[in-house]
Amino acid sequence: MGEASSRVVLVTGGGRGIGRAIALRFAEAGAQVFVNFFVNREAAEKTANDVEVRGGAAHLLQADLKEPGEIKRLVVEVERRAGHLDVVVSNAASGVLRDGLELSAKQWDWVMATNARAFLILAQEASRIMTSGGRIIALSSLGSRRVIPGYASIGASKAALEGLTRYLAVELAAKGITVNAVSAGAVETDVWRAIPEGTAALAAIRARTPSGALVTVEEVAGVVYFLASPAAQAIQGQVLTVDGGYSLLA
Amino acid sequence: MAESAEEAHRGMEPDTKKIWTRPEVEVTVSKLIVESLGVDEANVTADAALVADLGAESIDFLDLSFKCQQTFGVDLPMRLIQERRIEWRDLSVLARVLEARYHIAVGADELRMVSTATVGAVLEHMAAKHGVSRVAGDDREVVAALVARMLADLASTPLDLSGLSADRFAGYLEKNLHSPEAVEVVMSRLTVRAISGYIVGQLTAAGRLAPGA
Repeated sequence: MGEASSRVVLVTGGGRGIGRAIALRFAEAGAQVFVNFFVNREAAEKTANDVEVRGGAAHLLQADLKEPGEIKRLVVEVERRAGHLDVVVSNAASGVLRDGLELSAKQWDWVMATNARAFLILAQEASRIMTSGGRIIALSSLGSRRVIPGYASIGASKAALEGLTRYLAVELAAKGITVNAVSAGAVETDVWRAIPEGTAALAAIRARTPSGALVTVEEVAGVVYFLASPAAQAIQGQVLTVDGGYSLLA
Repeated sequence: MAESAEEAHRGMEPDTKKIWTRPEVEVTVSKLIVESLGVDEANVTADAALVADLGAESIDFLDLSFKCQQTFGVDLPMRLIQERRIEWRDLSVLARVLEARYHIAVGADELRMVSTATVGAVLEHMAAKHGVSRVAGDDREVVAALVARMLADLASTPLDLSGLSADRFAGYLEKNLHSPEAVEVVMSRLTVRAISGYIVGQLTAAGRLAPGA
């Protein structure tokens, strides 16, 4: 049993990809992990099962994070089952791959509600049942500061999320809670398969990355885990870039 | 997990015990479509195609899937349709068909490098690079096998493929393996009725449809 043995962790979008890796990382330390998912129940059930195999306790919670009421329901459910929260990882994200000039108001609202507003409401609700040493960690991406074709809505939502990270960090610091973000470079997940020529794009990114390798979901999860550790108590309101040096190049 | 799953039923999980009648399912599916797509109720007729007639897009399907799970406890596997479309697009279905026919494993990556996305060009490539001999009628047979595989792959989705002319579908693919018309003709089978039918089928299988309804 590690230091996180009694910790209660909520990972939104925890069924697949980076969220799944984060859930498993905390599970290895014996945490009680709440895996939130939206529609892919099969993947979430598998993750929950793997959390238990790795020594954690798993809870599955389906919720539509675009809806503030659903987030409130989610946190109330965590409180009912565990009594409190130690770590919240705001990882769930959705998007519409389309140029900014092509975006509809509905698409914009959807992406902002899912990726940015959900983080705000989640932090508001979760911090209510968190005490000193609590951690709120959001997942961002390079599209918040750099331009990626078709990424306008997601990039803007991640920029909002990073800005909010700084404000929440200051507001919650006195309570001993830290708020940080992890900005991951291109990570090989199934999302890329859904993008036309996604495989070729990944290969091009790999070739351009100074480390010569794409960032893995486990590496991102490791950084999230570190931010959740007592060693990171003084890191407040930061966005940690985890991209193998990709964004350093002009 | 057993304990947390049991707890879950008291909390945020959908009601998976309720017995539905067919008319209830139909009315509820229409309501969920109105909510998810933000369309006028009057337009949600049984024959309306979600994409072509009601303007549904990917985010709407996510919403609809979520609402179906929450309401019926039934997964509406829209992502399966998306997965199948990805497999057509990246030519991995064609790669499987060619492997079954010629017993040569040629990767989809290689097939995508063929300059023209037609079965004819792909078979020419197979002849030049892999020594596969070509005879008249090969193109047609490969397209027919491709269509059969694609339609079989879609059988477990909420698409209503009954009465779909395989010949028409093949006609599009013969001209262009990435034919947008082929995708359209399949997606036109995603109607309001097809979704209700899918839910009814799943509820029946789970013993949750009122008998005789």
